[in-house]
Amino acid sequence: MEMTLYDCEQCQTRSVPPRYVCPKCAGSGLTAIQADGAGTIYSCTTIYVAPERLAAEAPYAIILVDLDEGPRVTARLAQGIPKIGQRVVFNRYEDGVYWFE
Amino acid sequence: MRAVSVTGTGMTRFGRQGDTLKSLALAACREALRTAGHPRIGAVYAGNFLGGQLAGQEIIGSILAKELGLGPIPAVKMEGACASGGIAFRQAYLMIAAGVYDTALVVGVEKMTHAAASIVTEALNSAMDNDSSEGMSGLTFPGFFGVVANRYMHEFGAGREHLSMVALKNRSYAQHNPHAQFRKPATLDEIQQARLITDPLGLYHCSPITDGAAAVVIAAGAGGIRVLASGQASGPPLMQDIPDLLTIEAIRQAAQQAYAQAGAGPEDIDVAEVHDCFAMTELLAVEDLGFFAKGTAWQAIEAGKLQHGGEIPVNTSGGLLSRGHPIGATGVAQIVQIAKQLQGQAVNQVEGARLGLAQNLGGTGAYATVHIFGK
Repeated sequence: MEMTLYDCEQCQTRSVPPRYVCPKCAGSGLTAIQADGAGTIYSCTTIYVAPERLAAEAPYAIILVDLDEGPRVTARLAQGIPKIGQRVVFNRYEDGVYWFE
Repeated sequence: MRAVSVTGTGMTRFGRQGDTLKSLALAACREALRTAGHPRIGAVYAGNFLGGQLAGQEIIGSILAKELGLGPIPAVKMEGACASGGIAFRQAYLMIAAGVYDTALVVGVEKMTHAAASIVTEALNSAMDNDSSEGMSGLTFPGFFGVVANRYMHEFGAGREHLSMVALKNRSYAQHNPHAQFRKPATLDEIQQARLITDPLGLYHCSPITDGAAAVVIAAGAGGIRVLASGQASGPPLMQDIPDLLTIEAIRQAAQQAYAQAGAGPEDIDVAEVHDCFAMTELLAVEDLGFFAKGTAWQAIEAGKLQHGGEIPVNTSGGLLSRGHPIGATGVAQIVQIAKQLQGQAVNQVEGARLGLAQNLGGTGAYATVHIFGK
């Protein structure tokens, strides 16, 4: 599925998620682009003790993904136990959360 | 800038307490004022993070000034998540060094154990940038340091047992500290087998939920334990924005400032309290403070270099892991331990210690302070 990333009009830095300003130069002109959303897990964890609002979902996997198309993004792995170096692909952006599979 | 000294120290026992936020803070302040000889105080600096969320209590600075009979002096609360105490100390120090006040009372306090773990976890998450996908995705602070630990082990060849060695060392030190939360001995095997909080961090690799307070009196002049340097820096509040996940840049920056001010280097420090909110964080901290090269702290803990008889004894109080981590109090409690080390009156005394360092951290490296003290 296509994933929306953001290119800074001023310094060309690519970032995700949507923000108020560019994380590098603080420029406010950010253009949405469509990307494939494929990437590699840089690191990960499985959380057993969750905050109150997510207690029912635990244990769940948090992954830090290096996208082939640029930025690094914190996301959830839909299922399974994540491993460093594992290839993953974007599935959906829902309620402010990036989901990969 | 004028010379500044720590002239009094006080702290409560850390752990589960029946007391309120106010009564904990008062007990630590009274002891600090008494040991300082009851000087006239110019201002109160309180470090506190979750008073509003967990204890339903703000304006703690003003409450303390009144209850301690200090008169209508200025009082503030400083918030910097787990670095609230270190930041409160630094602000008080700067004001005295600049000549605005001659003395100040610095107190750190937190009341946490009355709330359920899930509620505390949620409250602690307010130290993330929650207007971001990271907070929404369910990342927690143990989770963040779990992600760091997995990459650290992958990159440098460390094992989970090295995290356990940090926990074991700090527990061993806490056994001799009457103020510590956990004084029961533990074995490496118990630590390794404990239930997982967030992979690879088990229960003993994580600092506990704690009630407690610590306080110091600081004053202009050289008549106490000298404050030789104060460094502070900020870093990215989001995990995905950290350029090198295995370096806490704010610690490096704050340490560089502090070493330059003190005219000393990491090799000159005799004893240190570092922010071991998780066992992983102690390994990163001793690297980023320059005690050991990046990627080698796991070998240092294995070789016994972080304890008595090694290169630098670290967290002789038991650290956050075993002394306990009442969030706002931690940074001040570290300074209390270093001051006592330099007075020659500490638990787990390091013989002949002349220079000591205290390093406090907030969030995912969002805040860091480093202070250096001398006798």
